[in-house]
Amino acid sequence: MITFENIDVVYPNGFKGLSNVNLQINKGEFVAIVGLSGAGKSTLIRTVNGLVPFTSGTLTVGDVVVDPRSKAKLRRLRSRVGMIFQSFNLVTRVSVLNNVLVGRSADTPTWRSLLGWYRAEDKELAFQSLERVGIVDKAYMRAASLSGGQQQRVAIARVLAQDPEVILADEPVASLDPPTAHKVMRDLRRIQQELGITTIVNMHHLDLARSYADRVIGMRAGEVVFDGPVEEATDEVIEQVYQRSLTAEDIVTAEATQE
Amino acid sequence: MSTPNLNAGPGSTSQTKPRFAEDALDRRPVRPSKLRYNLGMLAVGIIFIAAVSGAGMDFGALLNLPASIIQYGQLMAAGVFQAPDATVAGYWTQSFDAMFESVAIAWVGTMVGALFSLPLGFLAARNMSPLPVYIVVRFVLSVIRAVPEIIFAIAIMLPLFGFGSGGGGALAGAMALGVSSIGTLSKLISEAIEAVDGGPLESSRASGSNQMQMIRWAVMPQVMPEVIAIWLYRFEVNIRASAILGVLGAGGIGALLSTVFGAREWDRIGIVLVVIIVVTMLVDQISAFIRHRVIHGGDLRSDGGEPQEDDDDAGPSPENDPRVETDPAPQENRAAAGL
Amino acid sequence: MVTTSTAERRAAPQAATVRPEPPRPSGLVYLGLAGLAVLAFIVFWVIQESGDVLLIPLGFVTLWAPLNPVIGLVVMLVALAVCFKARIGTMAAFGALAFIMMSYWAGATVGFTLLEIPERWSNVEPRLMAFLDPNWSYIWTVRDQWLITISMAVVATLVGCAIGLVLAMYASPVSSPNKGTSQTIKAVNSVIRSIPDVGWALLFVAFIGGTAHGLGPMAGILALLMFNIGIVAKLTSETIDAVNPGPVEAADASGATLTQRNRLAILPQVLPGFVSYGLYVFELNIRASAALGIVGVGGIGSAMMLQLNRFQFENVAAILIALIVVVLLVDMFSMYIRRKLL
Repeated sequence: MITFENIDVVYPNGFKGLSNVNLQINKGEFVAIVGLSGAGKSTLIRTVNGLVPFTSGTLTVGDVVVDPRSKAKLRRLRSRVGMIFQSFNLVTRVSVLNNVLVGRSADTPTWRSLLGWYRAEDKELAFQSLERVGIVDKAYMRAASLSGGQQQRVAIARVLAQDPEVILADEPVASLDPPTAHKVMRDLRRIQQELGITTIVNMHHLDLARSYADRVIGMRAGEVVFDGPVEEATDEVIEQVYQRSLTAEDIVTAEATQE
Repeated sequence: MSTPNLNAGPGSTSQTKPRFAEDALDRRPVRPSKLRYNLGMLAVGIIFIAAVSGAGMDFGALLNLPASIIQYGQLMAAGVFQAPDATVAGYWTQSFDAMFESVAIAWVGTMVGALFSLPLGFLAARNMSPLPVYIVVRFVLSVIRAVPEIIFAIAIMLPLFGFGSGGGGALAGAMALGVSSIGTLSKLISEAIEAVDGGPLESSRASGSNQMQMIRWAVMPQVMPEVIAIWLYRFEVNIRASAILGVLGAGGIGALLSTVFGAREWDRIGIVLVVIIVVTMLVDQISAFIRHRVIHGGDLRSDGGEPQEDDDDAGPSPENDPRVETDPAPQENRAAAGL
Repeated sequence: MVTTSTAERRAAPQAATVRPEPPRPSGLVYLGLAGLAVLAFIVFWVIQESGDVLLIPLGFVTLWAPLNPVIGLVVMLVALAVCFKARIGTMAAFGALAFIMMSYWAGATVGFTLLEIPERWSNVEPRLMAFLDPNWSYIWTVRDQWLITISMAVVATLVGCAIGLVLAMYASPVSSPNKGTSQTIKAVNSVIRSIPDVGWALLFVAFIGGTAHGLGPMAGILALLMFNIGIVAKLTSETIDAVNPGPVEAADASGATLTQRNRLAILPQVLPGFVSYGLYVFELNIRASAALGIVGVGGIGSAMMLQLNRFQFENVAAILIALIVVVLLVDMFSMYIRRKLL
């Protein structure tokens, strides 16, 4: 369970990223955060694992109170919170397996990381993660040689290798074409359901949010302006959030046909 | 998605408790051989050990090194911080004069190199000159690059212009630096020209301009900032290179260094080193500022990749290629473009 | 008919739109620049030593020495006038002015002249003849020195690259623990880089002192080491500055320590560049170790200096030609490795 209490984020340049956010996200929930760009979606997600430190309020993840000043505590928190990015953020020059093993960092002694000698059980876990996203056959290929959708699955496998309690996904499908976007979202949904991992996903495609999430949070100018189950997130409500009428760009038109 | 457990790889489940339900879709790939990599590392190790023994290093000398660094360091510091009476002030002036002479040598050398490097750069660029010319010029340039500047100094310039600070040594040093600069400068400039955007070339050819007009209006505007940066970079390198020529008798800071080290006057050595460090760092800063300005135009953008283009013309070619790969901007653009 | 249409066409733009003029640079600033030129002229006039004659080969006319600053002034003013006429921005005009002043000063300092070449050519001729007629048999007699030179270059390159990589990790703000560390390491590194290789060689020769077998290669290796650390650390830290920040953020988000993050997310990205720098530095080392022989650090350079002091130019020529061949071979080798690895 993740609890935001009066969370404010002010960036060093004075920009207010979040103002007075109060939220409670239950264990095992699949939450989609929607809003226009600059609404504070990324900031909200990044406060959870401390990539963006909040400036006031109280944030608890599970039974841990997040303290953005303590690096050691943050590292321990981050080992339980996995994150997926829009641009995949893989090290493209090394193999897929090594990318997945980055997720084992927190549980690996530094000297092992330095030499690249991972324990057998870490490698096993990495392989199982790759099997879960269905690209284990690419394990020894360079990440650069994979397509965008495959790279994002490797990124999901990297997160799974962490054995996380929470998965944060920042626009995970914004760089993908519609069929691939659906595939990746289905993967995320399946993993959330099978493993009961709390999943928070930022997105700007409404239909994806509606078809995969349990709950939708709408944001505008750093504030939560809508919070409710997916059935309540009707077009009118979202137009309220966006403060404009919906356009074709808000929807991924092409449905995935394969699989 | 819910394919039953086809294969989880032999032994994969027995050792560790499976954390996830086994729904592997694909067979695990065979681990590729790391033999070549390991052999390569082994070769590097063997070469290193062979080199250590081949050089016949006296490791005993290293034991005394920290002690002598401290001892002589104190002597040098004492020299730097002593009260500047008339003699000491003279040392400082002498050091600054010598260092400025080195800067002058490097500047003249760079000018001489720059003068020749621009036409040669065009002749050595594949997209600008006919193949036979290109091959000949490239070969000559790589021979020039292979010859260290001391060889030009010893073989030609010093006997031609004379030795010592007063006797033409400075000019000899400058000419030696100039000739040896031609090789690197021309190669870097030719690479800059080869990297020129082909569009303007094509359009100027299409509008019926001749070779010279094309160079003036389509090539020069594109390469000139980079060329100036390359020249300035070489100026920095030449300041350092002039020191070794000075030891040979070409004047400048090298001559003074060799005198004070010959006499083991540690207080003067300290002063000379401080002057070298101060002047070199100052020139580097100014040169880096100008290069930044020339390449990025008047407004000082502070994008992350700033020092990239600037300081990296260091070597022959190595820097340019990996740079393109590691440059974050194109990758991000690609990602943003939805690739 | 035709004339009217041309006239119309000529008249039209005036009526409709005013064509944009190229922006005219500020005349006041140009006046200031001219003042600067005059100031430089005064300085050059005062500091010139009447004995030193700056000769410009203008049809082999010897100019009266004090005239030179006047020529300098004229050149500066003409350059300014041209810049003004061409409507070049004041900053660029200042750059041109500074360039002329710097060149004038440097030329005067080194006593630039090409007039003496014909009369002094006789000094060069015997040497050049000797260089063109090398003592080929001598090449083989110094093979041990070659071995030492290459060994020195290898050791200095490998150790220097390793230390340089660690320093670079601490020097780049992307990979260092905090801003203070990166600033400090950068400052230390620029001090290391500002001392020329021969300065390091002289220092280490003095620090270590002679041994029973002469100076030995240790001082040379240490000098090359410092030289290499400076170059590799600077180039690599700049490569790290430009690294794709995405994987770094991902490693952070998965709870990696700083060292793990640098090893897993940054090192693979900078590795190709780092290898190139290593090969480049190896080439430099071969050349530099020949030059450092002048101060007696062993290797082929020392052998060359010995022959030079004995005026055995045929032997020196043999070594030089071998040096050129070795450098070309190393160049080809490193190009091969680079193509193979990257």
